[in-house]
Amino acid sequence: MITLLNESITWWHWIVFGILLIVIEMSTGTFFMLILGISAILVGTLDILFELPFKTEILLWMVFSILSVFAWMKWFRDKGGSNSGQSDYRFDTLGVVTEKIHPHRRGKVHFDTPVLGNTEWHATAKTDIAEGTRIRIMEINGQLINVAPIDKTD
Amino acid sequence: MEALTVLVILAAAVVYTLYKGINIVPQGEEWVVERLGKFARTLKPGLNIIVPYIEAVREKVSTRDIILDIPQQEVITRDNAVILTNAVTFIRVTNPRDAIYGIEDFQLAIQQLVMTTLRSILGEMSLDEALSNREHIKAKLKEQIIDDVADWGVTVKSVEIQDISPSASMQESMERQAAAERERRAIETTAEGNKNAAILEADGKLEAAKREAEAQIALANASAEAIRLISDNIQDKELPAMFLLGDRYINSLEQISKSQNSKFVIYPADIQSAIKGMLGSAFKN
Repeated sequence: MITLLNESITWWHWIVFGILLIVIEMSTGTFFMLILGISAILVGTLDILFELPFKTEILLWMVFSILSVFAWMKWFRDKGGSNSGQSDYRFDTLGVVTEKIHPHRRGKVHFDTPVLGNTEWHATAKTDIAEGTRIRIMEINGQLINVAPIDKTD
Repeated sequence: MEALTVLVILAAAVVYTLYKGINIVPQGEEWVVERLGKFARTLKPGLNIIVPYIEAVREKVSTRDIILDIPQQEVITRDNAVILTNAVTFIRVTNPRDAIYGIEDFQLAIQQLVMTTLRSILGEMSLDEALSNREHIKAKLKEQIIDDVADWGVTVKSVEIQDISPSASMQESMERQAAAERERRAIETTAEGNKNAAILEADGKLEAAKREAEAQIALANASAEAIRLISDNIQDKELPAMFLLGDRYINSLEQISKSQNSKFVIYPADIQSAIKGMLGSAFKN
């Protein structure tokens, strides 16, 4: 069996297998098939050079697959991007306190641009914030926005 | 052979593990991940890797705005009028963790909450206020649900009142009231018109009578003046007057004789005394 596989599975089988996986990836968009496909192509390339036995090929395929995940995490991770439509969308909007906020009582803030469809919001804070202080959003709790003065958070 | 079987199984395990571990979260969604049944983190859009077998995606939450239809409901206002109202509300999950763990079904919860709050707000208003204060209702509604939605990780962006309409019977009586009001105004306007017309007519008559009287006085004065002028001119000069009279007398005789049908004319014989009688005191000194 093992000799049969060693003889019948050649380098181009791996490359075709790899391309097939990449084609499947194109229609599914899971990224997972892409990793497996690239690894298979790599194994095929090594097979051309070193005439590897089938066991080593499978082992290498597994190792490459795992390694490429780590490689992606280390070098290709997408750090930026718009957060439009996300839960933290417009969290960087600054505002001004229009009604004094005490830690135990709500106040009101006015934002420079609308946050969640409104510029006026009820706000809470951990410290006393006087009227007219510039603030930034720390957290949104339903209809209440938790804010902090800018100078203290910077 | 055995080694190959182990290798193949191992390869299958690697493939399955990678399949479970690699997650692509689309934009507009956030996935809540649990580690051994307990909340671990939320995955942001993009490629995410979780530790398979230990971590699992519990729920995929949409962080886009959700349109919630608030079904039509009957509300009784402060002045006991029945109105039908429905609304639409836009909500957004701002904290996927609270939206999953804080409430069983946040969409149903918000829908019910808006319905009951809307009912209580309209219940405090009179019918006319409810029909004309939509902005006020919106603002009050958002204010009143602050405390309720705090634990649900959901922000109610806006509530739009679609319709506030009185119930069928209410609408009928309102229409009747409006019709009666117009009828009353029509009657008033007609009466006002009639009154003005009568006054104008009477004014016209009064004016006409005044003018008539003035005309009669003017006529009498003119007659008196004419008679005075004649008598002033004649006075003692009876002869020229008599001559003129005689002249006209003869002229008229001539004209009568020319006419076709009046060949027989009787004149007073003593024309002088007849004229004197007609002119009266004019010939008396």
